[in-house]
This record gives sequence, C-alpha cells and structure tokens, in this order.
Amino acid sequence: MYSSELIKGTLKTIVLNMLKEHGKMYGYEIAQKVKELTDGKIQITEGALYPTLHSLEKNGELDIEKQFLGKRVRKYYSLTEQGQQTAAVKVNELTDFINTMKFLLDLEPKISNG
Amino acid sequence: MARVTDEQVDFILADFTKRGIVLEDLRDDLLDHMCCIIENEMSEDDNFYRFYEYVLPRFFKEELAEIQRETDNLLRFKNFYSMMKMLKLSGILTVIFSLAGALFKTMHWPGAGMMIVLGGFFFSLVFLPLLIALKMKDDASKVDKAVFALGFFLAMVMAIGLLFKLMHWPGANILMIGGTVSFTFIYVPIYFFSRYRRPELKFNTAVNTVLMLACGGIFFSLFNLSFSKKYLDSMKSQNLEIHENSLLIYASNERLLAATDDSLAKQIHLTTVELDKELEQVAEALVEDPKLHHTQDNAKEIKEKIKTYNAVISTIKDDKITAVDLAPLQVFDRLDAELKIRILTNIQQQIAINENLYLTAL
Repeated sequence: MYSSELIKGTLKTIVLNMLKEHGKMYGYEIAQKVKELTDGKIQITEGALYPTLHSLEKNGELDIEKQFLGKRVRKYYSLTEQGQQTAAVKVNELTDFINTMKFLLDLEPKISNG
Repeated sequence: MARVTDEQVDFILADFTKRGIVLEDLRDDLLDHMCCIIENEMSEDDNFYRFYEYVLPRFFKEELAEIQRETDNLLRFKNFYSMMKMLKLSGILTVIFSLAGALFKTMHWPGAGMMIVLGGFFFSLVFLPLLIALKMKDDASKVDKAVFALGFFLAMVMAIGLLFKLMHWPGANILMIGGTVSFTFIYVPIYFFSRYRRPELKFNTAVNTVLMLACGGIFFSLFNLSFSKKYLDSMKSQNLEIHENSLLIYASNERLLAATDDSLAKQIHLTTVELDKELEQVAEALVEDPKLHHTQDNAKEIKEKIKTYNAVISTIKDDKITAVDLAPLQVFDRLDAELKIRILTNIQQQIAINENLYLTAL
C-alpha cells in the first residue's frame, strides 16, 4: 500500500476517472473498486474520500442522486458536463507528470547523442 | 451477509454526531459507508458493536471529527482564513480603541477623539461588514442569513450614528434614530418570528429578543431625551441675566467715555458698538424664532466683526483685556437656540468688560 502522502495529490484525479469509467457510484463502491483494481495497493481512506467528493460537488464537477435505503441515504455521485472535462484535463496532467517523474528519477533515460 | 437494522443505523448516526460530524450530507455518506462495510465485511456470528468499534478507527488518524474539518476546509471559500484573521484583528482593535478612547475621554487626556473614531471605524466599517460577508457564506438557511445580515447592517448604522454623534458630525441623529427604530421595531420582531418555532433555538431566541428589545428601547429613549424644560428655562434666565449685566456695563462705559478724549477709547467704543449691534440683532432673531435655521451667514458676519475688533484690541497692552475666541462660532449653526444665544451674550459681556477695563485704566 502506498503512503497517503502519495495518494493525496492524485485522489481527485482517481475519483474523477473512476466516475468517468463507471458512471454513477457511491462512496464505498469507489473505494472498493480502486482497491480491487490495484490489488489493494491503493486504498482510499474515508477521511480523504468524502472531503474530496464534497468539494468536487461544491465546485460543480459532480451530480448527486439520492437513494433511500430504509433509514439511511445512499448518495450516488456522477460527473457533470464540467466534471467530464475536468476529468480529462486531470488525467492528461497526471500522465504528463508521471512521464516527467520517470525522466527525472532516471527510470527511463532518454536516448541521447552520446 | 449481515443486515444493518434501523436501531443500529440510529446508533451509528448518534455516535457520528457525538464524535463531531455535524454536516448532514457528510454524515449520510459516512453512515452508508459504514453500513456497507458492516454488511460486506462482518461475519454472521460477529457482534455488531464490537465490529463497529473495530472498523471505526479506519476512518481517521486521531478522531472522527478530522473528516468534518477537512471537508469544511475544502468547502470554505478561498479568502475564508484571511477574512477570519481580519475579523479577529478588527475585533481586538475595536475593543482596544473604544476602551482606551472612553478612558481618555473621561480623563480629558488628548487623543480621545482619535481613538473613538478609530474604534468606531474598525467596528462599523471592518468588523461588521466582514461578519456579514462571513455569515452569508455560512451553512445556515437563506432566511437566517438574511435576518442576521439585516441585524448586522442595522448595528452598523447605529454604530456609525453613535460615532457621528460623538464627533459632532452632521447626520448623526438620522443615523442613530433611524438605525435604532428599525432595529427595535423591524429587526427584533423578524428575528423572533423567524426562530421561535424551532425547538432547539426557542430559549435562546426568547432571551436574545428580550435583551435586544431592552437595549433598543433604552437607546431609543436616550436619543429622544433632548434637554429638559427646566434646564432650558434656567438657560434662558441666565442668558437674560448676562445680557442685563452687559447693558449695565455699557451704560457705565458711556459715562466713562464722556469724561475722556482718548482717541483709542473712541475707536474701541466704535468697534464694540458695531459688534454689539450685530450680536444683539442675531440674538433677537433667535429669541423670536428659536427654530431659526441657516444661521451660518450670521456667524460669518459676526466672525468678520470679531476679527476687526480683535485687531483693535491687540494694540492694547493689558493682560486683562482679552481677544474674543472664534472657536465657539465654528459650530454655531449646529447648536440649539439657547446655546447660540449664550455664545452671543458671552461675547457681548466680554467686549463690554474689555472696554470698561480700558476706560477705567485711563
């Protein structure tokens, strides 16, 4: 499992991308899906997930659909139009970042003239 | 798969609330999340409460309220923290300046006016507007926000009015009385009726309403206390007395003047009579119509005459003979009729005495 420091900066991108790939999802589902897809390497904590979801919603990136299950409410999150665009931008940004990091940390040296 | 019962949902909700999750949306999210964990991960023969206690620490590092704080932080607008800082700072400055100003004012130390102005400025133009702005971004309902904003705005008007009154700036009365009346008779009822039906707010609302009504009422009656009839009558009779004394001194001066042929004495007499005539004229007009407004022209005329008078007087070398002070005339137009007359009669008396002093010294 990666440190929470590493995950923190990419959480928004992960959440947006998950919703882009899977349509509407609720909190627990997102966390489980990420865990499942990464073989438990990335585990989103509740303490980080929900603040992020709420702030994305406030910024108009997410829509909410409520489903009442007896006494409790399940909130399904989905991307708005704006969210779709943001997701694309964020994914591109992260990809670029990863490539830069690879280069910076000398994991994939560029072919030089030497 | 275990199923979370309604009692268990209630238990979780109550526990979350107790642990500081007050944002309803967030609480719903966390509740569903917790239920999902229990339903998916708890084995059939496990005890719900034990499992709950075991799972809960997954949600946080030190305490559950972290999630609420983190969400708050992300939801707040950009300038929230700098505004909070400004609010604190302006609040402290308001307290310091108004307390120091009040102390300086009672002790008649210099700088009191400056401090009171600064205190009023920080309170009414920095502290309260910030409070309104912050309140508007709050989670409270629209009605609550509007009611609070109105209250703070009226407080602003009253504070500015009070500041103007203390500094003798024009427009103070309309601000103070307007602010107080709307506060007491419009804001307080709105406040009361918008809140008293909610059981959790009922007691506080009742107490606050009574306090605000009392304060508003006291302010209102204070503003409407112009000085009493008794005071006005005593002012009048004193003014009359000063005037009569001056007349006696004038009569004595006439006699003394007849016995001398000093040229400066004649010159002093002429300017004195000139100024006195002007003073007498304005005073008479004020006696006839105490509500007479727009006396600034008269004040200007009198000031001109006083300047000529002071120029003549300044040639005399006598410590007891003093030049007429122009300061009371600066605020002349804003004073009450009897106070205006007092200023005029005082000048009358002073110039009569000046002349007398000169004549008797010959």
